[in-house]
Formats: sequence, C-alpha cells, structure tokens
Amino acid sequence: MKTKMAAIVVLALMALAIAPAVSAQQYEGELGEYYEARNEYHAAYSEWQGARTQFNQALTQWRGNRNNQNMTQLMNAAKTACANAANVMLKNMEMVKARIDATPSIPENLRNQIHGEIDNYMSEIQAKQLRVQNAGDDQQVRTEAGELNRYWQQIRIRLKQMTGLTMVESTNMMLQRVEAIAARVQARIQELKDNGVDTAEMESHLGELHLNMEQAREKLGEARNQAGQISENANYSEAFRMVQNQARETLSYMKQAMVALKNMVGVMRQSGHSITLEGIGTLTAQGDGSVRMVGTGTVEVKALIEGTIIVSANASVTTSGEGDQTTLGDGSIQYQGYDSAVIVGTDITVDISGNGIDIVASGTGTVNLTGSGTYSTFGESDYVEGTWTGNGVMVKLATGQAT
Amino acid sequence: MNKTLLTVIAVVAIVAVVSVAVYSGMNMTTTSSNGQTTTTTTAADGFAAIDDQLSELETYLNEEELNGDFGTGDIAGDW
Repeated sequence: MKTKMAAIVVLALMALAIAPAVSAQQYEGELGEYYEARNEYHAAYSEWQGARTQFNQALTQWRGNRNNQNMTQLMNAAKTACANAANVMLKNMEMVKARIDATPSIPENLRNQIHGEIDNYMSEIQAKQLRVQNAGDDQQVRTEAGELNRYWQQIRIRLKQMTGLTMVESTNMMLQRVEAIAARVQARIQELKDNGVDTAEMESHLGELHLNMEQAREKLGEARNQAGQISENANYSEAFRMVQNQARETLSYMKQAMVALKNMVGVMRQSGHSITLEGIGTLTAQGDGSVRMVGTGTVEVKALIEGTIIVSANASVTTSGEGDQTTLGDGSIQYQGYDSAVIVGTDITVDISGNGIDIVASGTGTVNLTGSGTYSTFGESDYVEGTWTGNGVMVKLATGQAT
Repeated sequence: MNKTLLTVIAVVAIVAVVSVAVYSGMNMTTTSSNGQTTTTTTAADGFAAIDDQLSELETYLNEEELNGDFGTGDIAGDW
C-alpha cells in the first residue's frame, strides 16, 4: 500500500513539474504547424505553376490544330491544372487556419467559428474539384472550372477578413508584450530614482519610448478599423493591403520603442543595476465598478473616470487635465477629475472605482476587477478575453490567468 | 518491496527531478529589492526573445499574396 502511495505521489510531482513547460510551449508548437502549412502552400503553388504552363501549351497547340488528339490533351491538362488550383486553395485555407491557431489572443469561440467556416469552404472546394475531374467533355470542364472560380472569388473576401483579423491580433499581442516590458523598465527606473540613483540618462530615453508606443497604438487602432472595412461593398484587396501596411507601421514603431528600451536597460546595467524582463504581462479592461492592482509596473488610466483613483504613497503619478488631489490618512493619494493618468512604481497599490474605467495595467502582480465590463489578458502563458461582474475576477499579470 | 516497482519509482523520481531542474533553470530569477543592486539569473535574455517574436511577426506581415484565381478563369474561358 505504501509503495503504491509513494508511486502516486512521485507521479503527481512529475506531472506538476512538466505541466507549466508544456503550457508555455503550446503556442510555439502551433507556430511550427503554421510554418509547415505555409511550406505546403508554397509547394502546392509551385506545382500549380507547372500545371498551368502545361495547360497554356496544350491550349496553344489546340488553337493551332483543332484535332481530337489535341482536344484530349487539352482536356487532360485543364483537369490537372484545375485539380492543382483547387489544391492550392485548400492549402491556403489550411495555412489561414494554422495561423489563427498560432494567435492565442483570438478568443476561442471566434476561433472555433472560423474553423467551422473554413472547414465548410474546404468541403465545397473538394466537391468542386471532384466535379471537374468527372467532367465528360470540354464544355463541362469549362463550366465546372467556372464554378470553382466563382466560389473561390466569393470566399476570398471572408478569408481576407480572417487574415486581416489575425494580422491585427498578432500585432496586438506583440504590442502588449512590449507594453509589459516598458512597464517593468519604467517601474525599475522609478525604484532606482526613489533610492537616490541618478536616472537622468535612463529617463532621457523615456520620451522616445512613449512617443513610439503612442504611434504604435494609434497605427494599430487604424489597422483594426480598416480590418472591419474588408467587405464585399468595398475594394477588399485594397482594404486588406491597408491593414497589412498599418500593421507593418505598428511593428516599425514597436521596434523603435524596443531600441529606446534597450538603451534604458543598457544604461541601467552599465551603472551596475540589473533588471528582470520575465514574469510580466498586460491587462486591458473597460467597464464600471472597481479595480485594484497590487504589484510592480504601470497602470494607465486612459479616460476620465466618474469616480476616484487612490494610489499608495510610493507610486509616481503623472496626470493630464484638471483635477483634485487629496492626501488621505494612511498617506495614500486620491485623484479625481483628471482626463487621464499614468501610475508607475514598485510594490504599489492602485484602487480605481467609478464609471467609465478604461485601463491598461502592465507588469507583475495581481488585478482584481469587480462590477461590469470586459477585459483581455496578455500573459506569458495565457490570453484570456472575458467579462467582469459583481462576483469579481482576479488576474495574475505575469501569466495572464484569470479566475 | 517488489524490485520492479522500486525500479519504476526510481526512474519516475529521476525524471521528475530532471524535469523540475530543467524547467526551473529556464526561469530562475533572484532579485533583491534594495533599489541599488540586483542579481538576476535568467536562462534567456528577455530582449532576445522579444526580438525573435518581432522578427517572426515581420515575416508574417511581409508575406505577399500569391493567389489570384489560380488560373481557373482561363480554364473556364474560350478555348
């Protein structure tokens, strides 16, 4: 009996040890599947190019000499080219699906819905592919090829919408990661400053960081809006290209923000102060009620709150607009009426209560949300999109877990 | 105690210890919070990981569209 119990305990320990590693690597595996699907798509495309060349040659031959042998050759070449075309379409859709799976910030229900749609498209393409192969004469081949063409043109719009969404979400995930690092670095600079360290040089890069992050957020907002414009009523290819370009611009600003961050950390390390860049995440939340953040990093209050913000005395607060500040009995400071605010610090507490809450909290620690609203987490292992209610939701910033 | 069972337990225990060690090594961080000096030991540089992810995103966003109608319009047209 004792032996069995010991074995069970050891097995449980092993499961506990392995589980987090598996969780952290889950999406890396899915990214690998995306690259596999992408390679298959490119291979299918090359194969189709060969088949298209043969069809064009057979067509030229038929037009030069319209005999039975050339017609048979042309029919066969047309069927092969069509089969290959359908295959590229199928591989294209497999690739779109794989990328969606490798974008964990897309909510699961939306992901499942998109999977269902693509599976239906694939079944229909396969059916049309079969009808081309079974065509008995040239007229039938052309008719079935036309059907395949029309169907592809029709579903391409939806596939572009899906890819636009994936591009925006992939970019957003990265933006939130950079936000989390920026929060950690800013909190560390503030901590050093509070301890009498000269942080002037580090702070000189802060402006550059904020400017680039602001531009990145703005471009991503434009990309998100543009992604909603990919529709039948507009030039969807043009709308899609704009999403792609805006996402690229967002990325460019993020890379410049990273340069500023690296400069800050470089100065920090040169002067003998290190920093940990792991165990951090971001939460975005909108709604009414109360938010309590305990931890290290930043809380950005993006809009005027009909209520109050109370921060612990060790936090550094930057406000914009007109408002009131009151020092409370325990030393904490209450802010009211400001248009927006950014709170930075190490081991700080931030209590926000009222209506119209719109925040981004980045760093490490926990955030409790109570009332009504929506939230998204971007942690190192979990991406959760949900609603907060009177029962309350507790988010661990580092992992992104919400309970 | 049954020898086979003992061997199984020993193997499982070794795997568990190695797994814990490997996973902990990936994330080991010791930080003092005196505001002056910090000792940090991480297996991976946080910036390097983000740089890799940004490069991956760049590759994805630069993916050019290959597809028009894959020649199906030509096949459906006049021969």
